[in-house]
Amino acid sequence: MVPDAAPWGVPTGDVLARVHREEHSRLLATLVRRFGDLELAEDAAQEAMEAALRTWPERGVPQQPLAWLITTARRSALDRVRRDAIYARRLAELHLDERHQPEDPQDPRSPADAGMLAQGDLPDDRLAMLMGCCHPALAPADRIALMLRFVGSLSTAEVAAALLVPVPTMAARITRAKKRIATNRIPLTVPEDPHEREHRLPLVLTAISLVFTEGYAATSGDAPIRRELTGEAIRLARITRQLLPATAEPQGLLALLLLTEARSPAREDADGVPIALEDQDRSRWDPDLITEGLALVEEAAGREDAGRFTVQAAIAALHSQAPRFEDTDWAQIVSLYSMLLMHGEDPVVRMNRAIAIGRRDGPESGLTLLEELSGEPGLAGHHPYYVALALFLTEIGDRTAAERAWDRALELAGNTAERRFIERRRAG
Amino acid sequence: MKYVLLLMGNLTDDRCGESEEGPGVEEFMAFDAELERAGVLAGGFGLTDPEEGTSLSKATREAEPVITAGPYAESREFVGGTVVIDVGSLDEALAWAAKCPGAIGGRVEIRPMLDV
Repeated sequence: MVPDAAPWGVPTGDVLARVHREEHSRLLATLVRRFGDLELAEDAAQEAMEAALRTWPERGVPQQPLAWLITTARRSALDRVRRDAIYARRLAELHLDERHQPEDPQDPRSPADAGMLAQGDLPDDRLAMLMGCCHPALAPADRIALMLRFVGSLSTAEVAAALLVPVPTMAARITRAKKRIATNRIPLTVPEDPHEREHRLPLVLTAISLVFTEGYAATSGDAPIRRELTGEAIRLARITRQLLPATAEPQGLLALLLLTEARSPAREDADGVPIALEDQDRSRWDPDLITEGLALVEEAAGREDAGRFTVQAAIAALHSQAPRFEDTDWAQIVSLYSMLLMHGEDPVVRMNRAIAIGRRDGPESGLTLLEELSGEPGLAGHHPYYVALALFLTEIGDRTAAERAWDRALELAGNTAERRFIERRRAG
Repeated sequence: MKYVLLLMGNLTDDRCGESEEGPGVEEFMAFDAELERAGVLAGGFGLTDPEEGTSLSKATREAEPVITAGPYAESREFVGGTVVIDVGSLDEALAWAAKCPGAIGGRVEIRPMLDV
């Protein structure tokens, strides 16, 4: 039983917004487990939220808001099933798992009075939702949209705004993905097969990191950092870590995101133009995020199942521990990049390793390795590759080749801020 | 719920068998037997080679049918056979598809059967 400090009393809009944000995904996930049907669960969750908006301002917020919402939603879902033969048939086919349903659906009392579960005892079904949304039978772009919608509790319009997609396009994408889940009967569950479960987790973590990256380095538009998306990714990473406390990688991912986010106050100037790592005012890095991130990565790195997110977090940790750019432990960073390559071939990792070697051993070494990567299709359209090339070429005094690399980098820049960043670096 | 496993082959990488030997008939029969034992087999068929086929198409409802020898020329992929299974979810269907010999060096497409 979770002790509840005090009844919340008559709620303000803030309290309702907070309940929605914090409880909606748990409510929805629980309903999906119970009814096995996303559409029914969504409708019932919506009705429960509306009932809360109607009754809480008068009667006050229940001590266990989530339990209240689940009871209310469950009742409206059962009403719907009784009225609607199609639903009834569909649900009968699904062999509902009734084991976790202690409340009596026939209970005539109002949900606020009904004997309800203590909030702390309610199972958290969001892991099933996260893993279901990242099913390999869904397209990667759909996984991100569904995750933001159903685990992040963003509205379709908010998901569209966050991913810079027109609202009708996003609405159509989510509808299509939901239809695909229904017609294919894609289970929104944690895979039963341990092998499959092990393969699903990286898809979840990758989707979360893509949400973060999308916010951190917007591929279009003028603002390079979209705070609400990075914040959303961190929230999803926290949820995942909380759901899988004994696994290294969710913790590594959370550490990576926190350590990266810590740099954001120093990462762009007043005009929104990015500032390179070496030129950032490190006193502006967020010390609290760094402290939290470092503690997480230290623990994750000690675990046997530490993987690529933990290694990336360890690299970010080394950067955040260096008081000045010159103090960076490049030798360690090089070996961590080598370790990262053992988790999977990736041209961008090779590029970063080459840059780190250049910092450790001098620009010629870095340049040789970067030039070996010139044929990589994965780097041909990647402007940071040409920036790195241009910087090393400048350092060794090959001005002509450096100019060519700067030109190429400029051609490839995705937004105005990135272009200005490259121009500024070019000017030295 | 019924899913059809479409066993897809590709005309370009052929059975001329230079490299690795593809799955043999016995493997497909063993797969069928396993589905049967598990009680999930709900139909299916194997097909002769795609070049044995004949195509017929009508541009409109009234048009004369156009008949050509062989498969649709634009497509390199062909259906080599199908297996129909009756299971509870896509995950179960995928687990069976992963055991299907047709996936080796080919592709198995899993399609939910239209409920009519």
